[in-house]
Amino acid sequence: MNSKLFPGKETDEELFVSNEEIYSKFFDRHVIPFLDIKDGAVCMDVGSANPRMEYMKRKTGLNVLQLEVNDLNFDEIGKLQIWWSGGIADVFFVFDVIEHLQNPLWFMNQLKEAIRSDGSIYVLYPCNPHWLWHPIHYNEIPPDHFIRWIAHPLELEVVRQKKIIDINWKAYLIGFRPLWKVLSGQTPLRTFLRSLFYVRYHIFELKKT
Amino acid sequence: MTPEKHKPGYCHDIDIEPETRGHRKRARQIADFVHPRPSDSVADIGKKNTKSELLKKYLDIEIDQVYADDFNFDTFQTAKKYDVVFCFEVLEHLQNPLWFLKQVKGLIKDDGIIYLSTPYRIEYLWSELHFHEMSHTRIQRWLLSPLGLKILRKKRMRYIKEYRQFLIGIRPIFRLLTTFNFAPILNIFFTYTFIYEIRHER
Repeated sequence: MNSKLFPGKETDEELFVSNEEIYSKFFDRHVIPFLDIKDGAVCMDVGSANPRMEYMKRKTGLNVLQLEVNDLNFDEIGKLQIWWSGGIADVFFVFDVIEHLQNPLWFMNQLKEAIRSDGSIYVLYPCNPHWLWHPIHYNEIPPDHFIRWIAHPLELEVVRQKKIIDINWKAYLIGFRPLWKVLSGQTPLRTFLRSLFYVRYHIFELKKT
Repeated sequence: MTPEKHKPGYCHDIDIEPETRGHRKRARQIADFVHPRPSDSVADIGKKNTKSELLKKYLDIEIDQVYADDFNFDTFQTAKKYDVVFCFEVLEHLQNPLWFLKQVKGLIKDDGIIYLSTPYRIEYLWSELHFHEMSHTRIQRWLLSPLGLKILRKKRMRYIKEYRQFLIGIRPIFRLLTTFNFAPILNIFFTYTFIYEIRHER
């Protein structure tokens, strides 16, 4: 994949590395308790199939289909025929997607077009201070910004939202080696700080008004 | 499709702003950077405004205004292709900047130039009318490279305030002490707008 043409998609490789320990901590503690999905609902996960969603499917027993789109910045998902058992998708999962997109309003508008009128869109993304932003993220939108600039213009109602602080305490207890790497110039200071303080996420449940 | 909505970032009508020293100085800074030839066809993105009128005067050129109701969703292609397109302080207001720049790219000739300006500050100082302020490296990587465009030159322009705004008594200081919002004061010293010359990548 040409990362120059599609900056931000470098993350795909990382997503395919299975790490049950991390998934279980993050999803069991923060994400799965937040979901409010009826039995039998047709769920679509935006993005490539990945072990993280496989873990969630296994844990929740949800019927989740993958919605793989070539270019989320421009493709008209709203015009795709997302049919399943005679209906349109009830739920969209947009997990760690929106921070990579240069046209987030376009993308959310397409999802709004594609979803059932009483359906829900779950949006999960990291929202850390600007100086900690991951290099493969275009925009980690602050939650109030997301509501004002994305949800309101599209007339999407924020049903619920939750701030997630996901601290991995082990990261602080790994000795002097990471610090030495920073001092000796092997690791950039920002990368080191990111490994310690990159902990803030936000999840929204959105519905059409 | 343009959804019906109220538009954050489109909160004031720049077309009715009265001419100030700030407008004149900013237009001078821009005129020093841009170099359209007299024969060049020039377009400015957005409504006719004080700054574009001043630029016409300083550069002694005709400027067509190219406007769309919603730059986030509308296609604003014209039959005429331009040698130079001005796009001043629009990008930071948009939630779909890649869509917008794709449209702007469609307005220029193969050897055409886009002059784009946008502010860049630390996040704490971002205006509430701005969705996203970006450094030139982020603009290049995330918005221009995917479209086959490249920044050739750039210039930093200071934020220009009227002197009178510094001389309005203790009200700003009182507001600062009561709200602990230091952004308006810090903005005076740390706000920069960058202007870029952008062309097709060869």
